[in-house]
Parts: sequence; C-alpha cells; structure tokens
Amino acid sequence: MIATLIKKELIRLLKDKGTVFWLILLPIFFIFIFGLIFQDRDYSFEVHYTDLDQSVASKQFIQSVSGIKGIDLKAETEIEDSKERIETGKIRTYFVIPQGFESDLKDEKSIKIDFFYDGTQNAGQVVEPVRAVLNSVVATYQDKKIEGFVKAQFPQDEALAKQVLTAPIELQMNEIQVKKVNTITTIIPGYTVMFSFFSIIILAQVFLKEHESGMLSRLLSTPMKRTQYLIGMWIPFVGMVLVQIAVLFGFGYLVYDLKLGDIPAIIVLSIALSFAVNALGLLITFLSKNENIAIAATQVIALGGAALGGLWFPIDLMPETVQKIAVFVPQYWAQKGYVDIFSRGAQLGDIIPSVIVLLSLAVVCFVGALASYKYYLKDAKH
Amino acid sequence: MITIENLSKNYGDIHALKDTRLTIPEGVCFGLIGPNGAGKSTMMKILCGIIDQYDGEVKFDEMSVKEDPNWFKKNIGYVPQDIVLYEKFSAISNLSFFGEMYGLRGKALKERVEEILVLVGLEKRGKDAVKTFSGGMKRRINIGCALMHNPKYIIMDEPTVGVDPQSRNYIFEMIHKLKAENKTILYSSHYMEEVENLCEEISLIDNGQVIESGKVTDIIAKHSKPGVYVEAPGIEESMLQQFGGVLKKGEGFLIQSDQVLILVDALASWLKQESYPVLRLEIAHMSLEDIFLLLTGKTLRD
Ligand SMILES: Nc1ncnc2c1ncn2[C@@H]1O[C@H](COP(=O)(O)OP(=O)(O)O)[C@@H](O)[C@H]1O
Ligand SMILES: [Mg+2]
Repeated sequence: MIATLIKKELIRLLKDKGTVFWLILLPIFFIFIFGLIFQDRDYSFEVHYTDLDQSVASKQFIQSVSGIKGIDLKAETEIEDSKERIETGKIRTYFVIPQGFESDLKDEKSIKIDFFYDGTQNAGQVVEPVRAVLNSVVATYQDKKIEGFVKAQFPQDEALAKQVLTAPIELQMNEIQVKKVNTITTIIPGYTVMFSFFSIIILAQVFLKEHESGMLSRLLSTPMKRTQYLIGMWIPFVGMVLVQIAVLFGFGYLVYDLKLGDIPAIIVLSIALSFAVNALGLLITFLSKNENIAIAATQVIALGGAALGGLWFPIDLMPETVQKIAVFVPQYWAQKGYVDIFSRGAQLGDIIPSVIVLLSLAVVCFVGALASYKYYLKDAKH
Repeated sequence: MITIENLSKNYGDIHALKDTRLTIPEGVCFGLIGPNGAGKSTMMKILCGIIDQYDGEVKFDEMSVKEDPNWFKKNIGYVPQDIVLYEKFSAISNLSFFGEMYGLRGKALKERVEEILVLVGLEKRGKDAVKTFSGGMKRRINIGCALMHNPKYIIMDEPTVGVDPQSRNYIFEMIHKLKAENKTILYSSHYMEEVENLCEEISLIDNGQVIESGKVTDIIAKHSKPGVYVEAPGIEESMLQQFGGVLKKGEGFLIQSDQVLILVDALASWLKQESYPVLRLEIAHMSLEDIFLLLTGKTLRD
C-alpha cells in the first residue's frame, strides 16, 4: 500500500515540470549568477610611473617593484598629464624616476623619486599599500649600501659582519593549509539549503490538492490506513530533496570544481535536512489547510531563514545580534555543517551538532503534524 | 444485505441525516432518490467508511461496519460524485493505481485493467492521459476504478451527472452487466427516469430522512391515484382546488380523482364557462416524480 502510494507520487512529481524548475533549475541559476558576482579574484594595485633615466639601473628598480605580488605597473610618458589624472581621480598613484638615476646611484649621491598620490581620504586604502611597497624597495638599496660598508670595515671578521647585518626583528611566515574556502563552497550549499525549503511549497500543493479534489476521501474508502497514506505521500518528498541536494552538489563538483570532502557526513546531514524540511512542510500544510497560506508561510521561512541563517552572506559579516539569532534558524545549522565538510574537512563526528538540531526539528514538526492530521482528515472534501 | 439503523450525521448545525433507516437487499440495484442536499452522498460515504464519525449503525450481512472496517472496504467499490482521477496519468495508470490499493499485483492486475477498459468501452484510449478525455469518458474511468477489485457491493454517487448521451448509455450498459453478475448496487440520482429504469427498489429521501422506500411498482401502487391533466393558459392552482388535490406539473396541473370521467366532464364545463383556451385535457397517472412532489412538496431539480 505504502509502496503503491510512493510509486504514484514519484511518477507524478517527475511529470510535474514545476518540481524540476523550483528545486533544480532555479537554484542552479542563482548559483551561477552569484558565482559570477562574487568570483574569487586576486586584488592588484595599479601603479603608474615614468622612467626618465631609461638606464639599466632604473630598469632594475622598476623590475624589483613590479616583481612584488599585487602590484601592476603601468608606464606613462607624460608627467604633467599623469599628475592631472590623479587630480581628476582617474589614477591613484604615480612615481617618476629622475634623469641621472644610474649615475647618481654609482656616485652614491642622494636620489629623489617623486611619488604622487591621491590625497583624498577614501583613496588611502589604495595609496598606503603602494607607498609601503615602494618604501620597502627603496629600503633594500639602503641595506645593500650598509652591507657594502660593513664588509669594507671588517674584511676579516665575517661573523661580526653577519651579526651587524642581521635584522633585529624578522617576520616568520607560517602558512596554515586551509582547505580552499572560496565563494563557491558557501554559495553552493547556501542556495541548496535555501531551495530545499521550496519543497514545502510542492508538498503543500500536492497534499492540499488531494484534500480538495476528493482524492483523499476516495482513498479513505480503500483498505488503506490513515498512517499509510501519510507515510506513503511523505517519503517521496524526502527522496526528492535528497535528489535535489545530490544534483546541486554534483553540479558544483562538475562545473565549479567543488571539493566535496567526507561523503558519509554529507549523506547523513542531507537526510537530516530533508527530514526537517519535509516534516516542517507537513506541519505547515496541516495547520494552514490552504495553499496560499502555506506558500506565504514557506516563503517567510525559506527567505527569512536564508537571510538570518547566513545562506546569502557569511554569518561572520553579520551584526552580532543577528549572529545570536542565527542559531535558532535551521538553515544556519545545515549551512554550517556543509561548509565545515566542504572547506574544513569536517567528518561525520564533527557535524553531529547540526544533525542533532535538524533531526530534533524534524521530530518536533512531525509530532505536531501527527497531532493535527486528525483534523486535516476530518476537513477533507467529502 | 445492507442494513442502516437510526443513522444520524450532523455537520455543525446541519443535520445531513436524521435517524435514517433503510434495508438494501442482496443482489438488487437500489436507487436513492432525492434533491441536492437530501443527504444521499453523506449516507454513501458512511457506508463505504469515508465518514466514521456518526450515530447509528450500519451492517453488512448482519455484521457492524465498526467491527472490522477493512473487511467492508475490500468488498465495496465506491464511485464518488465528483470525478476523482490523476489527470496527468493514463487511464491504465489510474486503474492500476486503484487496483494496487486493493492489493492487486502483476499479471492479475494487468488482466483486470484490460477487462475494465473493455467494460467501460475505452480499450483504445487506455494509454492516453485522462486529461485528454471528455467528461463522459472520465466518468467511465471513474467508475472503472471502483470496480478494479471486483467488489460485491458497488456504491455509485450520481454517476451520470454532466454526461453526454453516448457515455450515459455506456454507463447504463455497465450497470446492467453488473446486475447480471448479481452485484448489490446502491445508485443515487436526482433523475427519476434513470432510477425507474435501472433499479428494482428505491428510496425517496429528503432533508436527511427516508420518506418512502420499497419496490418501484409498490410505491406507485401505494401513492399513485388516477387523475386528469389540464393545461390552459390563465388558470391557477387555487381555481382548481374545488375539483380535488392539485399538483403543478410542467405547464399545467394534475388533479387527482377516483372518478376520472366525471372529473373530465366537470373540468370541461368549467373551462367552457370561464372560456379559457384549453391546450390539453387528458386522463393521466402519477409518475414517481409526481409522487415525490406529492410526498415532499419539492421537485427533484430546480
Ligand atoms: N463536509 C460537509 N460540511 C458541512 N456540511 C456538509 C458537508 N457535506 C455535506 N454537508 C451538508 O449536508 C447536507 C447533505 O449533503 P449531501 O449528503 O451531499 O446531499 P446530496 O448528496 O443528497 O446532495 C447538505 O445540506 C450539505 O450542505
Ligand atoms: Mg451528493
């Protein structure tokens, strides 16, 4: 009996074009759009310059600046024109290597490199890094000079020379290997979790249609038990959301090179999410008994939960009060679980809090739905 | 045999059924006649277990429905008043679905689907989606779904509403075949002619109560009196009451009397004297519909 109902409902869901649109195509569209908008990109600063010396030494200087990561050098010929472009805000930074740079360097004369920059407040975040970069390049020339001087002073004592030349403070670089956290590892689960809630709309429509058309009451004239109907009609939706998640993550894997991580963890979390979403769907359906109310309630829950649960923006960027509210939103727990799996290599054991929260929600909603089922059946169009 | 004892059902303040009693003998086609809102559908839904909150008792073969609802459900085929089918599914899928709900599987299911398609005359359209069917064809599949499990009792709630004449004839033919198989059929309608032609026994119901019940011929014999039908523009019911009981029927009136020839005579002189233009003046017998009007003061359809 249950198998018959499940089979019927699955075939019907497949025949309904709305299912594929709401659950698969629309989220893929969103993933695509937001993937474009928030593409990971390397920030680089454009620095303009004019080399009046055109010597080997000046080219060397320019090369050492352009060799620094994040600096994008652009040669200019007209000094006055370039300065004017700073004034009008078209470019931010500009330096000029004077004539005689090479000969002055040889003669150990002091050299002045003019650095022009946009002095307005909001240009600071562009100007400051460039200034620091130029300063550090200039400083290497000073280091060289000191080194030459020290070595000349203590030709025999290399140890002493080395000690003098060792910098008193040095930054020790420690890169921690973090699995790639990029926009895609948050956008894909974000929109998957968000659109999994749209299954509630389809669930409500299907249940209420049978309620209104007299199909439910007709089925009650068969030997089918009332609980068999509930389970047989509900399970296809649990499966549908699981397929939805598999398709969207598969899409991410194939198209965006999403690193999936621990598959058992993904499966357990997805089952918990699907139970939670569809149990909530049943409760909404039985309480509202009206398609429009059910759709409105779903939209509030799906969109509100998406915003609060950090499906749209990383939760760390949100105000503290929102972060506190977020833990009461199921979407937050689902998203946290998936992001942990995808980008922090979390295993099944690490996402248990998320699974517990989602399953608890599922149980509470299901019990509520069972309690209201009796009244729902009574109102079925007889 | 189906026995209904003291059956009552309320929807809030609406008393859909009031202390109804009825006995439906084995192997007959039993007609339930009543206007919209009489309580026919409510009674049928109680019989097939859709409504399980009611007062009174329903027994099939002396066994109460409440004892083992599932046993009865397996032996009842219910044809709802509305067409309730999965529109996007083919006729075959709809029939199979209902067959499976009654436990049919595999070859037995397939064969039964073929049988039913032939019975409802849609063997050539089996693979087509139900939404491409005419209203009458949907009605036939709607009935077919209730017959998949070959039930002993068949409950049909107004199966011919909004049906084209061709489908209607198919449905009547189906019912004749089912009668030949000795099924017990409960058939509701507000078309008296249908019920007179199909059913051996009937029950007239109004306002949730059974007004009269029994063999069609017995009911007619009990209530029908001979009379005279008169149709003449300008005459009114009140003018005719001096001649006997008057029923408005169509454009004219039916006046009852045991002595029809004397009544014809009297009416003729009166009409002549008052100089009304007479269109019809004839001896007539009361039909079932007239009897229903006589007993309830209501017509079956507005
Ligand atoms: N689900 C329901 N809720 C409230 N009233 C109902 C319901 N079903 C039927 N009724 C009322 O019960 C009465 C009998 O209805 P019904 O059995 O459908 O009559 P019939 O089938 O003879 O037309 C009507 O007054 C109808 O309005
Ligand atoms: Mg009815």
